[in-house]
Amino acid sequence: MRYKLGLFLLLIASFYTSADWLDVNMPVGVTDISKEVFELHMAIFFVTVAIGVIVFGFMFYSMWRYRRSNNKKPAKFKENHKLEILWTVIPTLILVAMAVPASVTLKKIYDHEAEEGGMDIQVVGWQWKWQYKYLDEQVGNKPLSFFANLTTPPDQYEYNRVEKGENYLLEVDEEVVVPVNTPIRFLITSNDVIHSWYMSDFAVKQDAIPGFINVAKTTINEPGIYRGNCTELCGERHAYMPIVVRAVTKEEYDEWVLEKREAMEQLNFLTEKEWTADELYAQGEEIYKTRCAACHQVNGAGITGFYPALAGSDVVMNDKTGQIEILMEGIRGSQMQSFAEQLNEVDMAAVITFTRLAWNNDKQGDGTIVVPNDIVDYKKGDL
Amino acid sequence: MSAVIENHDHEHHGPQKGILRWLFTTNHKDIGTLYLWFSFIMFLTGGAMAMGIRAELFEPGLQLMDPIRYNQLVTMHGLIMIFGAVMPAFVGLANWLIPMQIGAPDMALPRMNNLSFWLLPSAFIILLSTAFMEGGLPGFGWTFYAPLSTNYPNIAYFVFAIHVMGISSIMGSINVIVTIMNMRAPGMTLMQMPLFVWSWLITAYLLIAVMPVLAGAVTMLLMDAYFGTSFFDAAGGGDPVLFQHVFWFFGHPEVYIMILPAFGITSHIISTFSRKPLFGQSSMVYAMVSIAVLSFVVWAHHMFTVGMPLAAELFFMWATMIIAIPTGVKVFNWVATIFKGSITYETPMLFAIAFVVLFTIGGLSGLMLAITPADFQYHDTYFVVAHFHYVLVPGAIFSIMAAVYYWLPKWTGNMYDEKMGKLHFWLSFVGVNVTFFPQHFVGLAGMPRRYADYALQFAEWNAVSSVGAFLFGLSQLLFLYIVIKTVFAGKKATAQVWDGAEGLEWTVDSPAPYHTFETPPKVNG
Amino acid sequence: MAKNNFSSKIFLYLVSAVIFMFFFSFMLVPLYNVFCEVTGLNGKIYGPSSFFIKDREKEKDSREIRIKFLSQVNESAPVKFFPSSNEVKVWTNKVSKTSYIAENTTDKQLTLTIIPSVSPGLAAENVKKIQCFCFEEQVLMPYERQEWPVRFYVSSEVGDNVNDIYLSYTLFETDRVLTDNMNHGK
Repeated sequence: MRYKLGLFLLLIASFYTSADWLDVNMPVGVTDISKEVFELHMAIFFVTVAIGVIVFGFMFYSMWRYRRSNNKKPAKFKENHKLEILWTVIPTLILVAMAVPASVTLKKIYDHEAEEGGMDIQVVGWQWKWQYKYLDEQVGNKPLSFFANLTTPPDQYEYNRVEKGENYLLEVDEEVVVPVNTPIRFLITSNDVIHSWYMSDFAVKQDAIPGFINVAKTTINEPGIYRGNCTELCGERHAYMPIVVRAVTKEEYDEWVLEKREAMEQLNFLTEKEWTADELYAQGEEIYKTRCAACHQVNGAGITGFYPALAGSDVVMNDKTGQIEILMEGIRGSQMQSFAEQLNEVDMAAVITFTRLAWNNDKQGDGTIVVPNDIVDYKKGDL
Repeated sequence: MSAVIENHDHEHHGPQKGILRWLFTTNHKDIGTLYLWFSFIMFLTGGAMAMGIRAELFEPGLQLMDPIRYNQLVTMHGLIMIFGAVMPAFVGLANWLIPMQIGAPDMALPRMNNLSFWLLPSAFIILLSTAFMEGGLPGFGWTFYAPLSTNYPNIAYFVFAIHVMGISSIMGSINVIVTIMNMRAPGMTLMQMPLFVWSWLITAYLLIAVMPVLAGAVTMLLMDAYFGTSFFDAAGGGDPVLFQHVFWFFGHPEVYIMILPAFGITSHIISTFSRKPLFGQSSMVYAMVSIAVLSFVVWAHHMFTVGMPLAAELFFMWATMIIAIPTGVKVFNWVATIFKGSITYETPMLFAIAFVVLFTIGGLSGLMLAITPADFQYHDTYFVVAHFHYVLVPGAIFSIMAAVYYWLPKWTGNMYDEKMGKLHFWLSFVGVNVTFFPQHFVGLAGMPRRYADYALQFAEWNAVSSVGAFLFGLSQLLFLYIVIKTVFAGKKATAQVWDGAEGLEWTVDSPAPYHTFETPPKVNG
Repeated sequence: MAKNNFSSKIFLYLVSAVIFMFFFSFMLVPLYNVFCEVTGLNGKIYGPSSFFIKDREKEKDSREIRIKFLSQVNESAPVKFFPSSNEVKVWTNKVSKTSYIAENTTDKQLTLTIIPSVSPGLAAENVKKIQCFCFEEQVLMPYERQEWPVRFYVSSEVGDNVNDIYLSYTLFETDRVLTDNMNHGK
């Protein structure tokens, strides 16, 4: 009996000491500025707690001491000028004492931003993903660039069919890899509506506004994987565009850039390769899940009134060129974006092929597939 | 004016019978009743939406609705609670109380009064009708930031509804100001006015200053959507940030519009149940005036992360912090009123005390939010949600409930059931804190607001918060029951009702006759 | 009745206050733009300037500043758009030249608007443009590629702590003339 009770208590204890229950404060973060912001936060927090304790303490004491059963005759005083001046002056002094360190920290953030040098990453908010352009790493005449899409499958968040993973809603297909101890300027803008790029561990939150560039500068002190979110309501899938930054040593970073470059060169080779329908279908299915399923749904049925169905769609079944055009150019005035920048030729061909063969579309329509060279031809204006 | 005279002729006839009484009434008490019931219905509607939101957030993953519906609920919850519940409730209280507190027979413009009420349900019918259209309800948050809102297909209905609500509020405010300025009982100077009247006078001026700005903002939005202008569209040389500046130029004073009348109510109740005159009546007035004036120069603290130069961030941080001084003065005055009183704790007093404590907690977290570098972390997280719910729910809404319990015997002639009232208070008090206190935690830990779904680390506290929300929401049905029961039955109330109460409204019978102060009372200067 | 007159006076006064505030909200737009121009609030650049060095600008020594060029194509406009060089070092008060390249990837005629933005915002008023494609709408024929020159200089009045300036152009599609009759439906 005692043994069981002990086990039970242990269970309760482990329940309450599990990290999530104690996850009640701001992270200290991994930059000098985030540490300073954390200290500022704790300082003002304790000041407000102290104010609360004094004011409420006196109030609760009065409430108890001067309850009617204890004090039949109320006093009659209405004002006291000395007291009133006192409780205007003291809060003013407290506020000044808070404003000074706050202003100093704020100035430090702005000074750090203005400091010369560092690497530049342009961050573009899209409905509902982030694009990163490494301005200092040119590939051809364009900066090294990629999109970061949520990889948590709908089975976890929408249908709740499988157990949620450790980084539920905080995982993406392409992490932003950056070197530690290097000042990084994030130049933040947006492709459509206002987003906000929020990395708690760096104490960075900067709105992404279409047509304008906002700057946030950060120098990460410790290697690691850091996760953040979009914090400005940007439409339906606002909660599904996380940020994942992987801070690594300078050497690892250079290696990563090299790999990225090689992968891009590899692409030409892949485009030339002879692709079978099965290969394209398999690759397309994966892309469909992360890029398309959110709106058009896993079963291709769309959402009536918002997102058109692809299953049984005339364009998807019979109009190959039309479908490529929609993916390349998007549909103006709708949520359908252009994927010309987001998908390379192989991925684009694969995902189109997948939609043309899946959900019985191949049986109802012409069943033709699209190969990477079709996309190349389209881009040349030959298709 | 003529309506007042007309009423005079029909003095002994009393109200019309049936539905027509309510449709065509020009009586300030009837209109006050209409406003209060309307706001209560809206409160339950918005509350049901909040419970929908909390049910979805009970655990990670989408269980009850897709994110589109979720965003619609969040948006409508905000709009309904602000424009449908809190503001009309205060207007209802103003209608009932201002003429009785200043010794006037009615509001100065009774027919406009009727119109300004009936516009309100029309506006909400227009707004809610979008639920049955393609494109659905608005889902861009109550702040409707461009360009997200300009893409919304039913924007015209939304804009029209906001216009009608705005016209309704403006007419109500004009009425309040004209009444207070012209119809005070002979001998009542401005400084002698009861604090509720003072708080409404200031609120009405704020409304007149900022509701037209809101109307302007939505008009520009409409023009961007339909007439090819580009006020807020970067492609045409506009600036989406400009929208936020215009919106918060309205929005910040709006925040005080929702709290100033609460200050007035709390002052009355605390003084009554402490059986002691209010401490620092005139400093209370000055504090409210300075809060109102300051509210026009702090708007950009809602926008610290849009990328402003250092000088602007510093200015708005300092200006915002200054507001803590007059607000602090008010809290200290309330505490000083309690000090050395002879205090009893009836339901209105419980709500008023809870108001002071919980509003102050919300004020202190507001002070933290004013600190710009820290706000880079807090902004648009649940910390902000916790902050403004602390000032609005146990702030504005508790004060409205306190007012209802306090003046209900005067309105109906019956005492409410004290035991039930206290039960309602304690359920609400526990519910509110269980709901909103954990939101500070998840906010600090980094959970963004307006999220339909969230990371696993936030799961525990969100579950707690949802349980609290259901407790709070369901206990409001008890409030409904208590009010209805009091309307029809209960111990008869005396004219004085509360032994410590002071003011002209307590000199008339309970229930207050249909027409009061036909001959103005004399007030000693 | 004397009371009534007073009442209508205050009534009219309040109604005119409402009307004034409504128009004031529209006045906020030009006020905001003036305010931005003075303070560089949003990094906007207003219109062309001519090359003219004021005396007080001459007093300051010319110094080197790094300018980085950014490009952004918004709302999926089907255009390739990028700077011909990513970064230049310029001397203050000296005119520099660069260009952007734009390429229509469709078989349709596109009309484009390009919006400039400067970061840090406070430096915006010191980046003076003599020639820029952002002053007017640009038209690209199907598959056309154009090079758009920019001539500008940075005034020496730019803040001392400004060493890096980011000049960003965001391209929006304002009109599209279809040369085929394909209709994608919804």
